[in-house]
Order: sequence, then C-alpha cells, then structure tokens
Amino acid sequence: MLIYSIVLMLVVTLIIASITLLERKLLSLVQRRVGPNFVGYKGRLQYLADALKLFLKGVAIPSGANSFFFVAMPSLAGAVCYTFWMNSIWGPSLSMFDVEYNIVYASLLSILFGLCVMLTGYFSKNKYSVMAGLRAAILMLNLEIFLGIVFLNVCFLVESFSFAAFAVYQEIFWLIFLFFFLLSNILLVFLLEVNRTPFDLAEAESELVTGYTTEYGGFYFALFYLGEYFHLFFFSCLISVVFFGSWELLKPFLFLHNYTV
Amino acid sequence: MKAICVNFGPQHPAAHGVLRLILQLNGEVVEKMDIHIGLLHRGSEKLMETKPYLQSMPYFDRLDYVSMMVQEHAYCLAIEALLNTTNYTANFVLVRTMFDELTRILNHMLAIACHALDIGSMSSIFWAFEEREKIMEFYERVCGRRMHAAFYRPNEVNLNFLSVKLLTDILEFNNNCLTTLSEMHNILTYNKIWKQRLVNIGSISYKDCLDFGLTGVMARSTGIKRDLRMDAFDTYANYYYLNFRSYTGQAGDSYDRFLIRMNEMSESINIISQAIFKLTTSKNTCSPASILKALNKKKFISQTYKNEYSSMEKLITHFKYWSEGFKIQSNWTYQAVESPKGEFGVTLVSDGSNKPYRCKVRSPAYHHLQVLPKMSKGHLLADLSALIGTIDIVFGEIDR
Repeated sequence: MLIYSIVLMLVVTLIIASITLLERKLLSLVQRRVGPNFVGYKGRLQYLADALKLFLKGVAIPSGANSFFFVAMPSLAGAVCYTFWMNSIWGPSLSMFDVEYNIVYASLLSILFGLCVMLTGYFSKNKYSVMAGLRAAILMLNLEIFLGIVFLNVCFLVESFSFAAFAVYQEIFWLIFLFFFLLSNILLVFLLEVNRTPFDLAEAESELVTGYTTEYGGFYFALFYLGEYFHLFFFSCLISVVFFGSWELLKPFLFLHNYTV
Repeated sequence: MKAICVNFGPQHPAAHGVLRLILQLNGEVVEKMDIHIGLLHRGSEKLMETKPYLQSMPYFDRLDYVSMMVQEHAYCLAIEALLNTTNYTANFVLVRTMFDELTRILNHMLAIACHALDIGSMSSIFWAFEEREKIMEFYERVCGRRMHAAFYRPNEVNLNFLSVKLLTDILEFNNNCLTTLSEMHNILTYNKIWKQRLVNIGSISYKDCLDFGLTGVMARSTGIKRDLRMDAFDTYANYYYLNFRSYTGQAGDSYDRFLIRMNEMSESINIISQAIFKLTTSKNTCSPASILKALNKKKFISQTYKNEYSSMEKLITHFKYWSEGFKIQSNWTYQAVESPKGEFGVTLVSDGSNKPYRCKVRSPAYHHLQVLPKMSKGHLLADLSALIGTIDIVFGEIDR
C-alpha cells in the first residue's frame, strides 16, 4: 500500500509536470512564439528545471500569519489532490481501495480542495488573498450545484455512481451523443471547476495579484501549482469516464481490439 | 460587511508601472479611491531649464516612453514656433508625420494588448508585441536606438539613414500590420467575454471631458470631435495635406475607446502609406543627398550637420553650435500635438539665452488619471484593472 502510494505520487507528478510542458508548448504555438526551448533538448526538461528552482527557494512566512496553518494548508491541498488520483492511476483493475460511489467521492474531494483554497486565503493574512478565498468559497457553493446537476443526470441514466457501471453502460452508446447539446454546459462547468482562464476568479492575476497564492513561494507554491494541475487532469479523466465511454471502445470499433473469439 | 482599505500598490501587476491607489472597497465594489503619483518623478521640466534647447530633446523620449517621437515632435514644434520657422510641407515634415504615425501604432498596440492581458486574453499581446518589435527596428534603423530615439531636430531630421530600402520595408510592414490588426479584431472585437467586460464599463460624459480636461481617444469616445491633426487652426506637420479620417464614439465607454484605438491604427497605416507615396514621388526624390542639398540652404541648418572636420573653422563652428546651442529671442509659445494618448502640449518661454526660461509639459495621461475615481466609482475591483487599461496611462509622463 505504502509503496503503491509512493510510486503513484512519483508517477503522477512526473506525468503531470511533463504535460504542463506540453501545454506551454501548445500555448506558444497559438501565440506565435518559441516557448521554453533552453533546458534539455528543445526545452524538454524545462519542468525539471522549474521544479528544482521552486524546491530550492526559501520559505517566507508573513509576520502576521499563523505559521502552522500557513504551512499546513498547501500541504493539505496537495494531499487532497493526490487522493484524487489514488484510485484512477492504475486503471480499473487495480484500485487502492474499493469505492462504489466514485462520483460522490470525486465531488467531495473537489469540495475539500475548494475549502483548502478558501482557508489558504484566510490564513495568508493578506487582503487580496482573503478576497480570493471569499471568491473561491462563493464559487464552491454555486458550482457544486451545477456540477451535481450535470452528474446526477447521467447517474440517473446509469443507475450507479461507480465508474465501472459507466464503462459497461457506454459500451454501445457514448453518453455525450445523448447530451450533445449540453456540451457547452459541461465544458463551462469543467472550466469553472478547475479554475482555468475565463473563470480564474480565485487567481485573477490582473486584479488580485495572484489570488490565494499571493503570499506563497517556493515549495509551498509548487504544491498549489501541482494540486491545480492534478485537479485539472482528474476532471478531464472524470469527463471522459462519464461522457466519452470510459476505458472501453465503442462496440462497432471492437475490431481494433483484435479479439479472436 | 465592513469596508476594507486596500493598497493597490506600486507592485501590483495591473498597476501599469508605479501607480499607487488606496482603495476603499465594499465587498468587491470600489467606493472611494485615492491616487498617489510621483513615484517616478525625475524633475524633467526643471532639468530642461538648465540645458541648451537641443540637449533637452532626449527628455521628451522619456516622458511617455511608449510614444516617443510624437513628444519630440511637440518640442520641435515649440522651438520652430519660437524661431518662426514653422513648416508644413518640407520633406522632413513628411518624415516626421510618418514616424508619428508609426509611433501611434506602437502606442495603441501596447495599450490594447496590455488592456487585453489585464482582462485575461493572453494571445493578442504576443501578436501586438511582434509588430512593436518591427516598429522599434525602424526606429533603430533611422537613429540607432530602439526606444528613446532622439530622432527629430528643430527644422530638420537626420535624413542620412532614410533610404528607399527603409521605405519599402515600412510598406511591407504596413501590409503585415493590417493582418495582425484583423487577427486582433477576430479575437477581441466580437468576443462575448471581451464585450461583457468593456461595454458600459467606465462610461464618461461630454461634461466630464470638459471638467477634467480629457483629450484624445478619451474625448473622442464621448463624441467630441477633437483631433488636433484634423483641426483647422491647430493642425501641424503635413496632416492638412493628407487624406485620412478620425473616429468618434457615442457611448463613451471602454468598448468605444477600444474600437477607436483599433480604427486609429488602421488609419495610421493609411497615413504612413500616403506619406511614403509623397516622399517618393516628390521632386526631391528620397535619396539622402538630394534631400540634404534641399535642406542645407539655410545657414543655421547647415551648421547643425556633422561635417567631415576638414577645416578648422568648420570644426569650431560645429563645436560651438553643439556646446553652446542657439539663442532664441524672448518669446512665449504653446504647441500641441495629437499624441496617441491625447493632446500633448509644450509651453516654452524663451528669454534670449540658449536655454529655455521655462518649459511646461501638458501630458494627457495626467489629466486622464484624474477621472479614474469618477469612472470607477461603483464598479467592481475586476473592472478597475480594465479601467486602468482603458485610460492608457504611462507613468513617465504623469510624474515627469
């Protein structure tokens, strides 16, 4: 169990760190610029350099802040985000622990992450962070309703909360075909949930400096940074499980499996 | 909920340099605002009084450091008015017009791109800065510096580096710049988020413009037809002989200002093309030798040029001209140009010596910043960063 957890953390961290590099490269393509291209072959090792830089930085705690909670909050947020992946990283056959209510579990963890963000803002003793924390709290309250409604729809259809049931149910027909006109809503809820650019209310670089991470730097900032990406990729995973046929191909495409029945 | 006071401090990423605001927030709604300026004060106006006329030219590049040559133009106009040598049609005036408009693109690209970045659209800033890079390369090719050009001189510009190759490159830039502009239109103008963040945000009225002394894009967005280039009496440079349009808005909100800036850029491209056409088809073709020949008729112009130091007397005159400067009779003038931000004026008082007695700069952004508390009252904190973008302030000229 412990070894599994440690390997999980390493693997997930490495995968996600390298995917951040991919994102930066894609962004640079959109914006007609080079992007990271110095460290390693054409910048392939940029994420390692970034991680090293963040880990080598010192920790500065604001004088008014409670140092225990100031340090504990990013750690908690990081832990929550690792927990997202505990069951999902090895695929359906190997779960760390058996949860039947996968979707409820995911929503709960998501709420917990929102709570971490809110409390981080509170414990930073910074007015911008407090405002970001309040925004995160309001977002959490409003958003979970939308998220719940979107997922409850499909849960009524499948009559289960577990991922395995979704996989079985979507063998012949992906749910996204049924909910095609909800696609925009699903995308919006997804973006809201993971706090990406049009809805980055809790970060809001232009008005709230960097939002709830204003006072953080170095290792603890890296924890938030990683945590957000974990959150992002876990929800991508969740959307593909719930709407895009989980880990099974559609029946008509089964010849790709090269079955010899 | 108790109102909180926030220091929207000089280090804030949306503060465009060294703006410091003390905000009183009710929740996220801005109630009151106290603007603190002066963090970039360098005493330029006082320094100008201690230097011969020509030597204070580079200070004007450093006032508004994103529209450099336009401000040099104002200072040149002031000196020319004091010397009674105001010119509207010479080749060097055409060159000035051309570079003024390049500077206008330079400024508006930065204004719109940074505005977009503040609001959250990241891509356009990279496209805009690519265009700015090209314009700064033109700066470098004519005067050797990328930003603080010090290119214009009273009654002349340094035409040694102006070649047909440069003009064709500028024409090519014009085409590419139109492409970039349409890309920016595509990503911003019809974008729903962009419109929601700008339409009816920071509306000002006709009366506000008169009360606060707003000029330029800010005044034109409310429908005031005030553009010094188009003005029958205040016109300067070659604009009277050029065919171009100036745009006004109706609502006076941020979206109008954005549209006006976008349109002004395409109009600037138009003006640049016209200026190049005039330069190349005029009787004095744009070979440096012929232009120099045409210009060097007047005595004090020929003194200003670097000679080849072949004779002792020429060297002495040249050295005296550059160290001592020229004297201007006791006089007073106010000359204004339509800088990309608004009316940029220079009041110059001469007292018969080689230094100005007083040089007062009227910077548009200083006046625009005053209206910020009125504009932002009742808006959300997120809109405040959009408003700072839309008034297009640069602290070099506010603090001077």
